[in-house]
Amino acid sequence: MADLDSEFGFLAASAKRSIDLLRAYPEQTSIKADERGSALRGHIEYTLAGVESKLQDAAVNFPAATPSEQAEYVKRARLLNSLVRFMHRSVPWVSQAATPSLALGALYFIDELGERICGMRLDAVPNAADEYSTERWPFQPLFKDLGLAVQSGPRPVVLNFPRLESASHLLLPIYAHEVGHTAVWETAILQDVIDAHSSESAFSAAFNKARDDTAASAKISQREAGYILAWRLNAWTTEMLCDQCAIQALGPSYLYAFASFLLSESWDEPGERHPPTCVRVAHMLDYLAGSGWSASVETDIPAISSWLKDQVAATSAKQPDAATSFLLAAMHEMRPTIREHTAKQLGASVYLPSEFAPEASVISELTRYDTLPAQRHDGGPLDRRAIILSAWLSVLEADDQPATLANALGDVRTQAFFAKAIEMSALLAAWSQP
Amino acid sequence: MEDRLVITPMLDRDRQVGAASVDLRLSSDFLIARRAEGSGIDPAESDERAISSRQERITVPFGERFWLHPQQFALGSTLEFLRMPPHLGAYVVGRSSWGRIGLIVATAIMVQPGYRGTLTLELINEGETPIALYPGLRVAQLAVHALTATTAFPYEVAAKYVSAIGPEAPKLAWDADEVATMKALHNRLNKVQPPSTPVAN
Repeated sequence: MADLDSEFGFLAASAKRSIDLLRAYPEQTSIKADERGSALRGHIEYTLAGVESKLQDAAVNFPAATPSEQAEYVKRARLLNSLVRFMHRSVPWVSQAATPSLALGALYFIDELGERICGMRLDAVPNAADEYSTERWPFQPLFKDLGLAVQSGPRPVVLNFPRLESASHLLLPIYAHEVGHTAVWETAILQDVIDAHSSESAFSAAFNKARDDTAASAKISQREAGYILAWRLNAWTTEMLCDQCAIQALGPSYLYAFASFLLSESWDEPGERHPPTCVRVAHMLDYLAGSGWSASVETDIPAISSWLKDQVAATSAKQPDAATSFLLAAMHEMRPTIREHTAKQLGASVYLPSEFAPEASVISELTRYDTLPAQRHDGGPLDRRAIILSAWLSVLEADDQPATLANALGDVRTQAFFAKAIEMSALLAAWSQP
Repeated sequence: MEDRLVITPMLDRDRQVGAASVDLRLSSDFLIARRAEGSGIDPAESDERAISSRQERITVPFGERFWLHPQQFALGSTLEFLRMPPHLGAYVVGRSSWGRIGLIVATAIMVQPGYRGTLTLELINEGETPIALYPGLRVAQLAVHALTATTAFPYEVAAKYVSAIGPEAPKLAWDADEVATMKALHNRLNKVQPPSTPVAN
């Protein structure tokens, strides 16, 4: 009895200290209400209040509880401690929200992507980490355990990026993919795409066959194999949706950023969560060809364009397992449905070659004379999507060979120049708003 | 475009273009000294990295402020990017309202023909009270003048600061050769020539 009492007291004190420590941290930063990081801060405080409330309830009920109930309270108190400790991972996010390590131009670009792809202003907090990834509404999975209601208002979204790439502004289009994850999360787009195909008998039959073959070869139950296959189908489709959101929102600059960063890392290997890179590139190239983009940019960089196409064409499928074969076929089959749904999601934000062409000539003229390409001759702001695509084309045209996709990221000065242009263009756009 | 003066972005042409000058705004980028770093700046010993390491770059978002304290020195820059054609020169000077509270915005005020970039502003508070500087405010003005002839030596030919997009740290090391020349002159003028060979008795 005494042991449980002491243990509970220790765990409650430990949790309180951990909560106080985390609660004090955002207060030391300069996050203002309704500004970057404020939704994240609110989310942290809300979740901490939920933990605290659970601890208080336990403290009130513990003395009169039976020994077995007390043992359960001790177990829960330890779990709550681990939840708070888990929440301490938000400390660098809060710090980055208060003093972002990305240039203003990059931050404005990411905010605009949120509005274009998700149709709403996100509380996007870029976080210097070791890879590009997204943490949407990070502690929401704890709500159920803590008995918390779902919050309304802006969603906190932490966008991780590789710390060493903070000045690689040519990689900004990759954030469009990451923002796409929030669009998939916040809407029924994934389910709609899957439903559109799973209702077809041929698709269902292919799924069932892949499930049964996998169960037989892996010596697992059909139920387990079906669960894993459905999970992978969701994950792969999500990635394809995010790629499609990005390339429809930005045009070829997403392909160049993607190729620059990811092609060296993987090519034809299927992942658990991700389709093979070659499949993703093939889908992007197919979209660019079908939407008129290829014709408008490939003439400027014929060698790089041909190289990308040849790479895809030369990739012969290795003998994949039954599940991967099904997923590869499914991705191909779902291509039009994915495009149709992302186009609906983006609406007027789908970027068209006809929008780029007139601005491309202005940006080209300004950069030819080493002048910041932020403002049109009529005084209006140049489109930030046109600036980033022009930035890519200007560096690729200067040396049209595949290695330039990588070398371009080494030119910090040029990238800072275009990031400043994005910053000034966003400022001008905000200035022009009534 | 070759012969045109470009000032971009121009947020409010009506307010910025005056009778004989163009108002320029403050950008959100600043360089401030890290006072604890290093002993001092000596052009003969400093390289660019050494000077940069003594300065901290900070970004103040639009709508927020940067406090410049009495006698504090900071580098800022114009929000506008300038492209000077080869037949125009300019001077950047403070605006009188700011001057009356002690703000000096530029000490090296000449803008050469052929210059391209934002202008680095040498911000000094000579007043008695701290001054809040908000990025985007019009703190400086550019007075442009025509040359009697197009220069044969535009700035871009031997430029130190090319296509700047924010305050740039000084490149004193570029003048290190002149310091070496001055030291050589000192030796020639002041040192007693040592005997080249001992004189045998």
